[in-house]
Amino acid sequence: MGAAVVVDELVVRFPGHDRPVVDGVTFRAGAGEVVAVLGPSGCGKTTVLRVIAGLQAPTSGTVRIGGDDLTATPAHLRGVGLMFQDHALFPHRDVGQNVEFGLRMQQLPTAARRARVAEVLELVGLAGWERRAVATLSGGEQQRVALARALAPSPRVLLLDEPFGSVDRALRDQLVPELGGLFRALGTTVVQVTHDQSEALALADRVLVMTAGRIVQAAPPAELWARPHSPLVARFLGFSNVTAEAMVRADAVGLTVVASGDTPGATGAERGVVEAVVFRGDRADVHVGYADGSGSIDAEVSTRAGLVAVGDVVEVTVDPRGRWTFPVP
Amino acid sequence: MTLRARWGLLAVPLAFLGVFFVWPVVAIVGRGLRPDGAWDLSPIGDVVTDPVIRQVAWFTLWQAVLSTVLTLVVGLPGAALFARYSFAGKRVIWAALVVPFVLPTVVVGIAFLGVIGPSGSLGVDLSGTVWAILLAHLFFNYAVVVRTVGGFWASLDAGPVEAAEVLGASPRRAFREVTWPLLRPAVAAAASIVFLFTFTSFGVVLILGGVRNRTLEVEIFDQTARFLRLDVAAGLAVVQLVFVVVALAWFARTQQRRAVPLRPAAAATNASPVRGWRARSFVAANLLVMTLLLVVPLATLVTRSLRAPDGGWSAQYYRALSTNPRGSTAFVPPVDAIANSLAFAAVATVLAVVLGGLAAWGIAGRGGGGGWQWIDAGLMVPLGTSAVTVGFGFLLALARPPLDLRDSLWLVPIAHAVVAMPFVIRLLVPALRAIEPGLREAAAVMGASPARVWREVDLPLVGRALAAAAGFAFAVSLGEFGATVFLAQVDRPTLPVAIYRFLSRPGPDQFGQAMALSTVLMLLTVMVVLIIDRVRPPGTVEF
Amino acid sequence: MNEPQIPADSVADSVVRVPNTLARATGIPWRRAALVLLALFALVGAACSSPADDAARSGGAAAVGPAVSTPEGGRFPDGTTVRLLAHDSFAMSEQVLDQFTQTTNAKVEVVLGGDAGVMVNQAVLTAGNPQADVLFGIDDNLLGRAFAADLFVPYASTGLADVLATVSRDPENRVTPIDYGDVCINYDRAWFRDRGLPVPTTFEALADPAYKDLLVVQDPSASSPGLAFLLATVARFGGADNDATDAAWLAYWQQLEDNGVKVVDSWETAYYTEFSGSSGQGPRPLVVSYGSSPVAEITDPSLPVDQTPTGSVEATCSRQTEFAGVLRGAAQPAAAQALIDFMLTVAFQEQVPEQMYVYPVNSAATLPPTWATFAQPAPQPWVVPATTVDTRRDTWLQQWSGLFR
Repeated sequence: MGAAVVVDELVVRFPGHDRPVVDGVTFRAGAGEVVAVLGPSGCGKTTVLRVIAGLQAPTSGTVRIGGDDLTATPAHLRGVGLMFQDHALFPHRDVGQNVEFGLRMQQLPTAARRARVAEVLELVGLAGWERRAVATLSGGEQQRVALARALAPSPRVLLLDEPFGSVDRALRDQLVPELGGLFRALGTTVVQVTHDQSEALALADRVLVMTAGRIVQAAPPAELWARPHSPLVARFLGFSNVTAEAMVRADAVGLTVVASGDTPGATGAERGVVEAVVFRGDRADVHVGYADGSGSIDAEVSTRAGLVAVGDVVEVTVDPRGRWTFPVP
Repeated sequence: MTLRARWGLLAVPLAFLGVFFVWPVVAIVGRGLRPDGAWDLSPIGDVVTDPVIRQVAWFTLWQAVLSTVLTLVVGLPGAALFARYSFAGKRVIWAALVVPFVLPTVVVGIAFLGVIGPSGSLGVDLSGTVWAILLAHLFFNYAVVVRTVGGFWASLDAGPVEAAEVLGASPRRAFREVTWPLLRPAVAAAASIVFLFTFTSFGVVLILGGVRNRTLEVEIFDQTARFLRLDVAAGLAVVQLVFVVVALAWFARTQQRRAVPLRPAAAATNASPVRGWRARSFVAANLLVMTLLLVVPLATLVTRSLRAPDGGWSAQYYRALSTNPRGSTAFVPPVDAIANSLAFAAVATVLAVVLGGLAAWGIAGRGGGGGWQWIDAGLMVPLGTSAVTVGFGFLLALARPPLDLRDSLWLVPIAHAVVAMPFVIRLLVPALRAIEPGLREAAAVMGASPARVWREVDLPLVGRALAAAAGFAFAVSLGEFGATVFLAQVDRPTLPVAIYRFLSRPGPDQFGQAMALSTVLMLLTVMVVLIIDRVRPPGTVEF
Repeated sequence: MNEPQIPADSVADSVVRVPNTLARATGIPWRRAALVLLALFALVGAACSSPADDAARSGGAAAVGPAVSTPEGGRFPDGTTVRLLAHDSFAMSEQVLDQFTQTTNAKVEVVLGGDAGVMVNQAVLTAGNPQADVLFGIDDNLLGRAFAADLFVPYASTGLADVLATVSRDPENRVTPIDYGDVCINYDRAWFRDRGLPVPTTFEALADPAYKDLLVVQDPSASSPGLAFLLATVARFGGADNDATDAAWLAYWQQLEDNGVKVVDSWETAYYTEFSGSSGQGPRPLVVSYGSSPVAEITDPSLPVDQTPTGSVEATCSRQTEFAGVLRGAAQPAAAQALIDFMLTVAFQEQVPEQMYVYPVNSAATLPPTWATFAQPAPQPWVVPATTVDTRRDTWLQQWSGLFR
């Protein structure tokens, strides 16, 4: 069973930077919980991970794992697993030796090590790759080896830094539910750091949105998706039609093509001209500029009934259920 | 890289060494082994069976091995210091490490004997013992280990080490399992250079070793330059060459096995400020070693340059440097000495870096078959060949048109470049090998022409190694290594020559000015090396 | 994915163009052609390096050299440069050398070799194709090797008439004496005074236990003063006539060794790191140096002194004479002869004490004032005949090495 991770008022300042990279971050990942820290590059999320792992000393604040204050404990005594963004595989060792490293540190006997390595490699889809040289691996393969290496010692806390960065879409779609199942079965606490919202939403029990060193919202994926706290979070989640007070979900915007010659005002809806269309299979993203020049709106429409084209004149209707007003801070 | 391309790169460096190293050596050895036109290899046999020579050869070997080991043991922690920590004065100290390299041996002898000598501050007289030789070798070669290994270490990717620590390896374990295997090419490179230098050590052994400790190089010098017994000298030179080739072959094998591609990371992220008592004591211990080893002997020189005969402090010797009371031809205006030294060193550095760079590139390239480590080893031979042999070889080989260069000033930087080139190659090859091929491929795919790939990918990544190599080449030239000591040249004195001139005459003003000029040489070295360390191709990361 | 082509290919292109052309012309593969070219180059190079040896070996025929004609009025054509090969202790007043140029219109260019022994060997190696016209600084102990290699063209200088009768000369005038020096034991006056010890005045005293561990000497096979001191002991104690290893002089050295003599490699090391009387402030108050060294130790030449800080032991002095000669194969033999004449003039001779710490051979030259008081040449220096030195030196050095190595 995994251990709870509690980070309390973490501040990290680097020399030469006037603002702290991590500015008072507090959160809790319960035992067995999968938490994703979502944020743009440079927001400090990797630094938080490195502090939890023990690779970076915080300027102030504490890290408690499993109830023990480990803020001052060196990295090799913390019992966490870390998967690096750039993989950081040992170039002078082959795949099997990389994966078994943590097991060697735990002084597991050879037979047990070998079995575990085979087990973990199978998990990440690289069964039988023990003797391959690291230099011959593709980016995705290296990522999987890095993951296997972090998983092999069955750490009570697993830290993942952009785990699916180099992995192609198909493989990711396959790995995500597999890993989700694995984490639940092991009960490992997972803290995942990513800039990709679909990854975070898919894998996590709770998502923490982080910008400029601070956590701006923490919520389960569904709630985050339904009720983003601020325009910042909304934009980061990929929503369009975001203003300072409210947002309109793109799929709540309906478009009806108007035949030229129709008189306006028939239904009371606003009129606009289609400026851009991005075809996405079943759906399409359509960017419509209002006819009266008062702005624009993005709509996500089904393509079943045909596709609008750039230049079409459309009537825009907004389903009020798709409107969300940001809570007052 | 195709085989053709690799040979193309090596063509010019090989031709250079062929004309300015192989030919002179063959000429002088030939003179000894072919006295009347017929080859007579018996001197080699005589030399090998002579018990005295055997003793000398054995001594040469074990003192070189011990010196190398000692320098590694003391120097590697120093390398760690510079690779992992940032502290005040780091840049200046890094540059100042090169100073011992540059000082004439007789001055080092004075400095050293001020510490370990009969009336030295250490209290025990080590002069004339093998300990004096070992310590002096450490003094000279500390910079080689620290700057070579330290530079490489600073560029090592910190990721794998951190991964090892998180996986449960204590810092010591992580070093043993991850850092050390990755560091080995650089350590082997440094060790090979130190070994070659100490194996062919001449001045140190002569001055500090006393009458009883003699190396092959000292014997060769006596036989060549004093007794003109060219047959015996040739025999000795061949023996020395065999030793060197065997040693280089051994090093070559270790090199090939350890070449592992890395992604050199920014040194700035690797060097952290000093925190915690453990780190502090490590830094302090190393700085103490450097102080005792380097600062104390050199400080003797500086204090002596400022001490007037009546015991008080005075800058009279510095003032006296530019005066020529006797209107002597032997007088060297300090500005002239500095200018000559700098000019020769600049030319020698350019030659060594360009030629060494071409060669390193050809050796380190991938593709075109194996066996390149032998070429690599072969190019190192000049570093391990008797300087007096090469010098006297110049007199014989380069003695008639179209290559009568005996009087040419070009011969000085050329002789220096012959010694400096192996240095450059030794430092660049591990760095070039460490460039991930993917980076080059990525650039090429993005449309970069081969020249552009070289400029945008290779050059920035080896920038640090290149700067280190240039610094060494400069120091080698400034310190008058190699054959120039044995050339008869039109009077164009450099700083070491000017210093030596003072010391070959009696009198307090002569001694004082020698000390003053040595101090000038030290300061000049630090300044220039600081500049070289700063000059980096755009795109390279800051130290 | 293909290996990206490196610009080296263009370098390779130009380099392989020659063998490529050859290859196309002859039908041989280009790599083999390149090897052939390389081999040809090596053979040509080896062949070309022989003539120097040939010239040296057939030396007998060229013993006299080309006829030398001095131009009218002793002035040489514009642009004449006479080259002087000297050891690295050579120094002379620029003004005085300019006088030579003013008189003869020939410029003097100085080429510096190593110390005297190394310089002579450099000259021997390049015999017949020398780097200079005049060689200066060969001392009596080195003449044998130089003569055997037929290094010089004989020249009887006009200045020889003024040379002191006591100065050794070459009967065949292959070399001309220019200066001489005394190699003597120097002592640190203050050191002995402070300890109330009398200064040793003889060779025997140096072996006395009262003076244990006080003497430093130089390796005679490496150092010219070291050799001079060794020869002095040979002259003093005998053993010059026989090969017996128990020669008296060797026994004396055994006594010195028992008395703690320290042997170092060179004059610089001995004087500046071991000798207490120099600015190096070493531990030993007795050193082998020159008769002129005490004068140099006067700290302020402008103030009158009663005594020099160091002194020399007259009974231990041996004499070394330095010569100059016209090199065989010199480019400017006439100018070379003129330079040698000039070196015997009073103007040049009176500079040699201050510039090179040696004594002038010209009887008309006066010594500098402090020299006249403190640095008179030894009246009865030890001398071993040059011919004996030639034949026996290597043996002596070997015997000495047997004792100390």
